[in-house]
Formats: sequence, C-alpha cells, structure tokens
Amino acid sequence: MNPASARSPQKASSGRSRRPTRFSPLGRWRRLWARGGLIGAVTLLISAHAGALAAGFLAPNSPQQQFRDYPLASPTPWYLEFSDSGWGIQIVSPLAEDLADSSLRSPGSESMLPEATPLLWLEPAPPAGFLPGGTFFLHPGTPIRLLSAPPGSGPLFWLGSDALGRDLFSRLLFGARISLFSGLLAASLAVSIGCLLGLIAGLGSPTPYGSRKAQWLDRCVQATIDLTLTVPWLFLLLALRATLPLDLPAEHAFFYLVLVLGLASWAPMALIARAQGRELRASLHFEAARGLGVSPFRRLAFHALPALLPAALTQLTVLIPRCILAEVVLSFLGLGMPEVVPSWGHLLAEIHGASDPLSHPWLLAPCFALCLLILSYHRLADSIRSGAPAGNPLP
Amino acid sequence: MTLPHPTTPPPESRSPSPRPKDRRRSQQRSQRKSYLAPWLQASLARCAGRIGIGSLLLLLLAAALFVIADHSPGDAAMILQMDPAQSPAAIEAQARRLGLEDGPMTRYRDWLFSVAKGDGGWSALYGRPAGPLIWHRAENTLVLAGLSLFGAWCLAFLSASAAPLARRRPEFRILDRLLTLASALLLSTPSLILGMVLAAWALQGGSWPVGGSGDPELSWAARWPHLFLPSLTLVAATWPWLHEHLRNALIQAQGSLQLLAARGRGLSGLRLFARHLLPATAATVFPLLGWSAGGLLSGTVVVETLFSWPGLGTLLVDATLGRDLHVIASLTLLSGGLVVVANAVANLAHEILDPRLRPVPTREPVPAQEQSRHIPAREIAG
Repeated sequence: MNPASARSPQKASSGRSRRPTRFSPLGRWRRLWARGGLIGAVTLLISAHAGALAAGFLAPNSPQQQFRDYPLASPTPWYLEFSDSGWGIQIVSPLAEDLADSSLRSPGSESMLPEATPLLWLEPAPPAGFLPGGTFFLHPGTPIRLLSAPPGSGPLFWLGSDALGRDLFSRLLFGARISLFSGLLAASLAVSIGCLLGLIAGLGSPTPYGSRKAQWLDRCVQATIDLTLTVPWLFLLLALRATLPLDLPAEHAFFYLVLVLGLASWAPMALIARAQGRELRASLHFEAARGLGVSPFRRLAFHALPALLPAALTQLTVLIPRCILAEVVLSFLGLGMPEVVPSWGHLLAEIHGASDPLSHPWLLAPCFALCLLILSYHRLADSIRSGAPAGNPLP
Repeated sequence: MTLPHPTTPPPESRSPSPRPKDRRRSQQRSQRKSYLAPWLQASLARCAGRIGIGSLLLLLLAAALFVIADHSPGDAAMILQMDPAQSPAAIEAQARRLGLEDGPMTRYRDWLFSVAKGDGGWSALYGRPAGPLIWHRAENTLVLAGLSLFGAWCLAFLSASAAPLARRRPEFRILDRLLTLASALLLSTPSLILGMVLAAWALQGGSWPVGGSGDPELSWAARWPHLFLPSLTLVAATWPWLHEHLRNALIQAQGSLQLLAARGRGLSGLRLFARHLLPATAATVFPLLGWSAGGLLSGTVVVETLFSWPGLGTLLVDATLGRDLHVIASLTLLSGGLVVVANAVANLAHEILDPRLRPVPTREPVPAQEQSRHIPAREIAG
C-alpha cells in the first residue's frame, strides 16, 4: 500500500537477501559455511575444555619439569608408521648435542643422526607434582598418560619447549585448566549475581503502587550498577584485587580470582535483568500468578528466572571471554595465580620476557590458542544473540 | 515484595499533584528571567546531576576499598619491611603518615581531606604525596588515550561509511566485506597479544622505540615515535568495536524514512551523507563516545605495562603490587571521574545537538478576543 512501509528496513533487507547479485563467494554453500563456522566454534570450545580437564592424561610431560638440555627446542617431528603388527606414531627426537652445536657437527658422523623411535601408549606416569596436595584445578596428573616418549629417547615436545626447557604443550593444557575454568566460573558467578539482583530490583522498582522498601532496594541496586559501570573495568578489577593480600596461597588463589572477577563484571547482566523484571511485572501471566497467591520466592524462581534464560545465556557467552582475558591479564601483571601454577597469563609473560620470540615462532602458540578461543566464543555469542539457528543469513 | 493489587486506588500521600510548597517554588522559578531555553536548562541540570551523583558514588566506592583493605591481611608497611634498605624508624614514620594504627574510617576521612587539598593522599611506595605523582602521570596517559581515541574514531568513521556506499555502488561491496572481516578478527585479538607481537616485531627491526615515553624535556611533537606503537595498539583494540556499532547505525539510518524523504527531494552524494545520514546516527554516536573513553582507559593499563609507558596504568599496577591504598583510591576516583564527566558531556552534547530530543514546542493558547476576531476562510469565500 504505502510506498514508505514497503521500503522499511526489515523489508528492504529481506528483499536484498533474495537478490542474486549479492556478494557471496560460496553461492548456495554460504548457508552451510555459516553453520560450519558455528559447528567449528562449538567443537573447538568443547575440545578445549575437555582437553583442559584431561590435561594430566593428555600431556606427555609434567608442566614444571625442566629438560635443561633442550632449551627452545622446536616441535618434535613425528609421522605415522604402518606395519604388519599394526600402526604407531614415530618421533624423531632431537639429540641434546644436536641442539647445542649443530654447526660444529662433522658431516661424516652417522651415529649422531637422530633415530626414529615409536611412542608408547598408555604408559604409567611418574608421580610429578608442582604442589603438595591441592585441589583439582592444581592437581598435576593421572596415573597413566596417553602417549609418552620411551625412556631412552629424548623428550616429546608437541609444541616445542621454552627457554627453560619446559614442554610448552603440557604447560598450555594445564594453563587452560586455570584460565578457561576461572573464566567460566567467574562469568557464571557474575551472571547469577546479576540475574538475582537485577530481577529483585526490577520487580520492586517504583510504581504508583509499589512498596517503599522495595523501592529503596531498587535504588541501592541501581546505584551499585551505575558505580560498577562507571569505573573503567580494569581499574575496578585492580582496585578490588589490591584489597586482597599480594601473595595468595596457591590453593585459594583460584577461588579468590573467580570471586574478584565475578564481583567486577555482574553489572551489565543486572541492567538487563532489571529491565526485564520491569517488563515482566506488567505482564499478564505474572499478574495472574500474583493474583492466584503464588509466593514471591516461587514467582521469582519459576516465573521470572526462566523468562530471563535467553538473555542470561547471551550474557554468559559474552562474559566468559572477557573473564578469561581478565584472568590472563591479571596473571600477566603478576597479580593473578602464583608463579608455580602455569596459567596462560604466565605463558604470555614469558613470551614478552623472551629475547626474540619471533625467531622461535612455536613460542607464540598460547597467543594463537587464546585468539582462537575468543573467536569461537564470539561466534557462539553471535549466533545465540541473533536468535536464529546459525546459517540464517544475517540481515 | 508485597505489592498491593494494582486495582486498589493509590494512597493519597502519593497523588501526582504537587504539594503547595512545590507549586510556589515552581512559580517563582518560572517568573525568574533566564536567557537559556527551558529544555537547555533542564539538560544542563541533568548533566550536573549526573556528575554529582557519579562523584558521590565514587567516594562511596573509595570508602568500601578502605574498609575491605582493613579486613584483609597485609598492608603497605609490610611491603616496605621486605626492603632491607628501609630502617625500622622510617617504616614507622610511613605507617604513622598512613594512619595505620587508626580505624579505616579515620583513614578514609584523612584521605578525603587530603584529596580536597589536592594532595591525593600519601604514597607509601614513593614516600611523597600522591597528587603530584598522579598529575604528572595523568598527562602522559591523557596524551596517549586522547590521540588513540581521535585516531580510532576517524578510522571508524571512514571505514564504516563503506557500508552505505556499498549499497549504492557494488564495487565498494568487497571493501566493506574486507573491513568487516578485519574488524571481526581484530575484535578477538586481545590488545595484550597485539601489543606483544608489535613490540617483538619492533625489537627485531629496531625501527621504533619500544619502551618509555622519551625525554620529558622535549615536546610531544619531538618524541612522536615513542607514541607510535602504544597508540597503534590502542587504536587496533578500539577501532573494531567502534566500526561495528557505527556500521550498524549507518545501515539502520539508511533505511529510515527521513533518508528516503531526503533522497526524494533529490539530494544525493556528499550532502546527503554529511547532512542527513551522519546526523541520523547521533543516538549511537554520542553514548558510544562516552563508553569508548571508559574502554580506552581500561585498555591503557595493559598497553602502558607492555610498552613501559609512565602513565596512570603502570602507576596503578605498581600501587597494587605495593598495596599503596591511597594511590589506588585516588586513581579509582580520577579514572571514574573522567568517565563520569565524559559520559555526562556526551549526553549533554547529544541533547543540545539533536533536535529530536527537545520537547515539541506547544502553541501558545490564543486569547479569547483574538479567537472571536478570526474569520474562517469558508465565510470569506461565501
């Protein structure tokens, strides 16, 4: 009818998506490609978390063990070998002398050439710990390991070793246990605090009929939200961290960190929950529940919280990468986990302290891991936020 | 939460009509002569209120910091005791200056007085008043952050305008796609990693200075190479975020009715873009200005540490490591105050510059005699 309404933004964009001239390198496969991005992201996230949980089983070495003869060793070359008896993974382990002075080695000495050795499956692991006792997050290993180098050969470094000769892959896995799970727990804490406070404030926000007590609660919550949003995030985090003792005991540091991160980042969720609570209070089904005499707690738990679930999920996927990054930054600055516990922040600090990291590119593996992880979380958040099944062409 | 049912009539005490005292006051206010339009007065008052409430909240946060720090083990004197160069008498003098024997509220009161005087408390780590220390560092941070903010906004405006351009001209579509892809990739690269790689690259090449802010005797123009890498990192951390928001706002504004009307009047090209499309994004741009200032201040902590820039961020990290509570509280106050002022000013600018936010001017009621003298057109024609 109206030419103006026919050109409204929604109509225009949906019309545009059907136009054949739209830029699309993949043509009809575009939808599959978009969905593939989400599938890849979710697979990566699941495998990263599973790998972090099973770090003791997967890591070939202890994260703290220093192979002094192999500083800055490049990743161990490996290949698959098939024989009549089955198949196995062979590694070509670098010899220690080889690393020390490869230029001085005489060309004729064949015996110095490294030999291929088969890897051992499911060998018992030596009990190696970097902390006595400790909780699960600090517990170093399991009784058996998936793959390990045979005793005679050199060590197995999937991702090379650092300047002290420590296995980078093992450190990455054990560090993921700290970094990923502190982010996950802190974001869950922040979302639950934000949901509860925001809903209580929103349901009790001032109306002509509201009770005085609820209004005061709403005002207090709103002031706290404003305060938390006002101070720059990292400044708030550091100020909160400064009130804790500097040298946290390793067993408690993880939980203190989760607490500080959660307390610094609940405000956006509370803002959303408050707005939803105000909307909900005016809605008919909530009014009906109140009229039927449902108790306030039950209304909060069974009527208001489920309505908040989509927003909470979105906020969770947005907050987790932020919290992971915050933990990494805190550990990088020396304010997070103690030095004995490998966290991704410590790995990054070692790269920053290294003399020339670009000439040993395997040292940058934690950087790539962190970027990939954050990218996957962003992809997940995008597809949850757009509300559509992934693969829907975005407007 | 015992809310009475909405059908019950509201109690008398909360009726919407103003109390007689209020009414008298508002009459007085309207009789007073003012050169500012009422809507401008209201937005100025709102801006001042925002700044006032924000600073009150920040003072509350500082009080909370003092109380929590009092309950956790360890203080600045304990850190000083680890230093063998400090004599016990000197440590005791420091502890007396910080008021470590008193309660947290007494210390908070002393700190407040000191902030009011402009001293900003006593830094135990540096052994002198925190105020001059902070002001000296604040200049460095403001230069770095201001330059990066300016650069990121200019870049974001340029890159985001590729989206409305691509809609009219298909050859710009690939540019828009590439820019959006770059922003998505940069968005998931933390500034920590980016800065680290840039620093390593600069160290390898030896082309750019990697540490410090240069000789403070020289002017900023003379030591611009020191600014290059930190501000590049900050721009790369801020640009993708601004680009996404601005691009969405421009696309949305392009589909709006007012743009359709402008195009219908035959406008096109630069005039349509600058006078009609850009002003239509004001609702996104102004709040984003305030928020980007806060985000950038957060970002400076990491970047300053990476490039050992002598700014507020490195001061905060040092103070946190040394448990220098007065410096931490003053820094929180200063950074929060900066963000509060930035947000309030951005809001004020939005309210002043966007005519859509002003109240619709109501026509003055026509006096009775004039009404009677008015002759309808129909009667003249008849």
